[in-house]
Amino acid sequence: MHDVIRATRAQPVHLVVLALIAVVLLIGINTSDRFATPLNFANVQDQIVALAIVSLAQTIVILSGGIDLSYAGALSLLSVVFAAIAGDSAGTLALALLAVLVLGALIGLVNGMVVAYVGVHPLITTLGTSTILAGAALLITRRPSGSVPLLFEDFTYGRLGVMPFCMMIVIGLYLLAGFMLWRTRLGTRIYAVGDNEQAAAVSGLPVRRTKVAVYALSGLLCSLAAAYMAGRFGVGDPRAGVGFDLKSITPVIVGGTLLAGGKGGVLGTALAVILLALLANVLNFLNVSSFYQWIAEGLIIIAAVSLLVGKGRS
Amino acid sequence: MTVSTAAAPQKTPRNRSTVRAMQNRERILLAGFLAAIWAITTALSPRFLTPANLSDILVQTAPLGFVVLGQMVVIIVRGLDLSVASIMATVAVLSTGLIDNTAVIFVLGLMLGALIGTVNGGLVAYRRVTPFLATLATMIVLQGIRFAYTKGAPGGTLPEAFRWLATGDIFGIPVAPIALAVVAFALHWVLERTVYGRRLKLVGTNPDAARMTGAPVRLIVLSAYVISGLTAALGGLFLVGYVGIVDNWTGRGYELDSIAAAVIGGAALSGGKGSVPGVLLAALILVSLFNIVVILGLPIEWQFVIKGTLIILAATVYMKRRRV
Amino acid sequence: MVQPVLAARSLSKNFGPNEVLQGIEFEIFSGRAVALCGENGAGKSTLIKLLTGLYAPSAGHVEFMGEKVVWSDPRQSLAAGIAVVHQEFSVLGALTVAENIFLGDEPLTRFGLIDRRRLTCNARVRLDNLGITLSPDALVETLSVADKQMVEIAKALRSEDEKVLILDEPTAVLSQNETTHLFRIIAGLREQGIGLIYVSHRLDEIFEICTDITVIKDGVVTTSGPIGGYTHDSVVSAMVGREMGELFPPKAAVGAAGTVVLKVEDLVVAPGVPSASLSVREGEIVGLAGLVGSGRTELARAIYGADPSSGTVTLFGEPMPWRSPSGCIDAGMLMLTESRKDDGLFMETSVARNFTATTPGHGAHPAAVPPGHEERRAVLLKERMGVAVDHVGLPISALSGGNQQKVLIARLLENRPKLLILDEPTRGVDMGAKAEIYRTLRHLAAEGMALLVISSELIEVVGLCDRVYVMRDGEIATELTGETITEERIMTVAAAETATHRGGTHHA
Repeated sequence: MHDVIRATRAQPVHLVVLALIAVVLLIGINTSDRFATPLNFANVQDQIVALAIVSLAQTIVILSGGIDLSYAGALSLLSVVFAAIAGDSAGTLALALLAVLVLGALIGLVNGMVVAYVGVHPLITTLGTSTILAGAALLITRRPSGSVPLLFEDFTYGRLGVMPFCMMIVIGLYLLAGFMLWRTRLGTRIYAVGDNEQAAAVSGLPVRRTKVAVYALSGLLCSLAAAYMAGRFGVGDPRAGVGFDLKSITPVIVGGTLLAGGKGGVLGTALAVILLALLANVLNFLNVSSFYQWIAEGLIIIAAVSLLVGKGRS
Repeated sequence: MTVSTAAAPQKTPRNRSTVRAMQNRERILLAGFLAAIWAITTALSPRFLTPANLSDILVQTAPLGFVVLGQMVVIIVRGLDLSVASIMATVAVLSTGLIDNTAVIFVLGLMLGALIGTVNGGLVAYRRVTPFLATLATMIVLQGIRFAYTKGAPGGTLPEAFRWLATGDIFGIPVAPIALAVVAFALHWVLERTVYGRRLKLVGTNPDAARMTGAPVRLIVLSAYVISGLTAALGGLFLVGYVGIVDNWTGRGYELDSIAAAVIGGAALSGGKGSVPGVLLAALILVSLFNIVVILGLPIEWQFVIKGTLIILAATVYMKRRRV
Repeated sequence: MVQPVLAARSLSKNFGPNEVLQGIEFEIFSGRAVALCGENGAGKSTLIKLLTGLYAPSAGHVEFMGEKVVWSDPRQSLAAGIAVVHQEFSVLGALTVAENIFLGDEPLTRFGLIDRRRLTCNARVRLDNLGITLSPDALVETLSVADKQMVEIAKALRSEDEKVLILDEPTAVLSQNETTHLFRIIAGLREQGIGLIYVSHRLDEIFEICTDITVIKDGVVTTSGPIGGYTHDSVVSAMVGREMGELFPPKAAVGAAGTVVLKVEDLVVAPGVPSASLSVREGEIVGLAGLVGSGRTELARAIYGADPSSGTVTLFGEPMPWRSPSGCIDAGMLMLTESRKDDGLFMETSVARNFTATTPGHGAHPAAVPPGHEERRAVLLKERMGVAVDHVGLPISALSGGNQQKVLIARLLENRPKLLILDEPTRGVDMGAKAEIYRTLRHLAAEGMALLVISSELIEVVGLCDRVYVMRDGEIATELTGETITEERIMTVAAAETATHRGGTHHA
């Protein structure tokens, strides 16, 4: 049991999130007969996939003490590129996947190099690259364009029982990331660098290389999310990523990962993504407009942060 | 997000130039860059260097100029204000929606901006919430409030006087840039010529040392966010006045543009640095680039690519220069 | 003749014109523990940095296992088997004990993954061998300072074939019980054949655990040999026996002090710490002496309102109910902090602005400070204090430590304080600047100011202060005046065993 808690980096705050999920579920069940149905749960999962992947990437970056605001531009460019290459055959699809993975990793590498070797603040760096990438996406196409093979579109819509195929992939990615953080040297380094960069350097850890690896990983995950989004839309939308930079941060914070780095983990992000998606779903059933949902989201962030700050003081 | 400051074990002799000389050189560099892009564009297109176009650039600079002033003050105290765009839209929607007297709109808008700034500053200074998260939360909450208030579709017409402020001119000189110049001069005075301004910069340079020298650190941090709320409110009002339509998404992107302009203008996220002339030059550069891209007939998306490159380049240059 | 594991052979080091170490001879044998003693600034840490390759020697060399070595990087000495436990921790709170011990050198499985079972297991073995009872799975941030120190030691000794362990003031943060525990571990290490260098101010400890002693004073070894040949007094006199020369101005005449300026009664800095009472009078320089970690800085910061505390502080008979630095400044009490870099200077800011930081816009309207105002004031201050700088617009980082300190003192004086608290006023300052600072302080006292000076340098306390409070374990242990202020007296009180306050608690 102890090992499980250590490996998953479970925290007391996760119990709060779980309790909130239970409350939201109860409200949902009492609100509408259509809430607790396979169809609705499958829908909720469809809402989760893209944000879950991007938030996973953000979690890893934040754990290392950085932040990645390049998703807005990166997702847009990557999905445009994907749809431009994917065409309508399995061969072009494979090529498109390869292309976005390489491009995603490259974007991350550039971010990481500028942050680690030039020393520019990650916020400024990724804000800059995001702007560039957003521009590049729009230069390629101003309107949603390109196409994806039907089989890929079907795949992104496909389900096994109540679970979309892509949700399984998301779960797989979270498990992999959790495993990486728990069982690889890179994982330990990420926590060490995020916790105290100076102490990590004194202990002989390759701080800069760790940072580069983290941003590269973030870029790779981003390309998966971009491919998924292109599959769902059937085209590459040059504005696909708008808002994802800041949206990706909320679940990380609500899940108990500290913005300062070093503390937290992917379990919290997963729970927070589920909580936020279910909350939005139930509020829809309650006919609460998305306007009030925003107010709720903002207050949740403040509540989560205040809770954690209060804990840090004692 | 820790900013690493590698402690040098042995001190190397510093470059022998004064702090002020270094800052001046940074501003001359910016002015030189602005002059260079203007000169190149003038050479490429006769439509650039005309009174009408220059006046256009100045008018368009006004809203961003207001916002970046406040953003800079917040960055000086080691903060960040992500809520400026949301403040712009919320102030514009609420104050123009409630009343149609120009003076009252401005008074109301400024009060609202100050109120939101107080909330931001309170969270950061007294609740110790990270500036990034505090202002992110405010941004989202405000978004909800104004959409709920307008039910998604703001309406109403803007009073004539209001439009004139943002687009009109006095004897051929556009009003909006004059307003910006007045506010900018006032802020410049506050930063450079008052005790409060000195304290503000000291708090940003080293909050612990500032506290030991008797500065009311928390109050000063709070005040920075209030200033940002005020300038964002002004920016929002001038922007809707310029566009002519009140929209729930008024000012979208200004949070990032204002941070970009502040950084290009010499403000550093590590705190303590920033000047009014610097960030105004940077805002003018960003707006000029947009104008130039249009004048030269390039796809307007090039402005994003150039802007992004400029942010990273500027940050790199400042990094290298200041680390000497 | 047994060969030393690690030795310094006529090792010298100078930084520019400053000779920090001259011709040091120093040997460590396996299975023995050498105490390295000396006052602050005597050159102990420089010697350690030379032995581990953090600095390169200016002359002489380091010998390891009988061979001359030239370390160009501390990692080389680390790999050779020289482990250092620094005063500042390098352990990471977010990781477990086991993860910290093997950070960067985790045991891997065939597939290159961290072998968690072996990691825990190896850590447990390591901890057991050292006699440390800590769970390998415990998160370091949940541990006490003492346990973090243990993790630091376990981390330094993780490879099992360490030959030398250097401990720099390891007990500064430990309680008596924790110290006893550490000593048991150290004894075990000696049995395993490790050679130890033990840097400490606490003489009792040194006599308890060390086999040899080397005393450094002003960069030269004054004495060295087996510890049996020394007494408490002979070590102290080897450490401090120095002529005062022209360094200090004459003290005030006895009874010259005027009315009481500062009166502190029953000030409690933190729960569990004994309360402190003291007073400072007009025209008097009062010293606050004691070992590092004895609570001097904490007491001073509490008086100044920089940290919360309970108790009464009275200034000229007026109680100060609500204390904060700005409140104290308004009341005429100012403080020079211990660490210039952390909470003293504004680093990338001009000398002029640093000069005027406590009084920006002094003498001008607060909303209309004329341009060049602070520069003009700074030029006057610069000349009055004799600060060596070409232009007051230069960044303060361009100045030497002594000049930076003068700027800081000058800026406090701009408030015309009635009481000055100075925490380590001459730290990192060269001899010439020290003498100037002493003269300035005495001059201020002669003009009627009350001064409270914290110092780790005994000679400074003795040479400068009219009255001295000696602190030990958070409380004021004694008060010395006039002729009774001697280095030996202070040291005896400061380093004494205090059974009453230490024995009570049991190790959890």
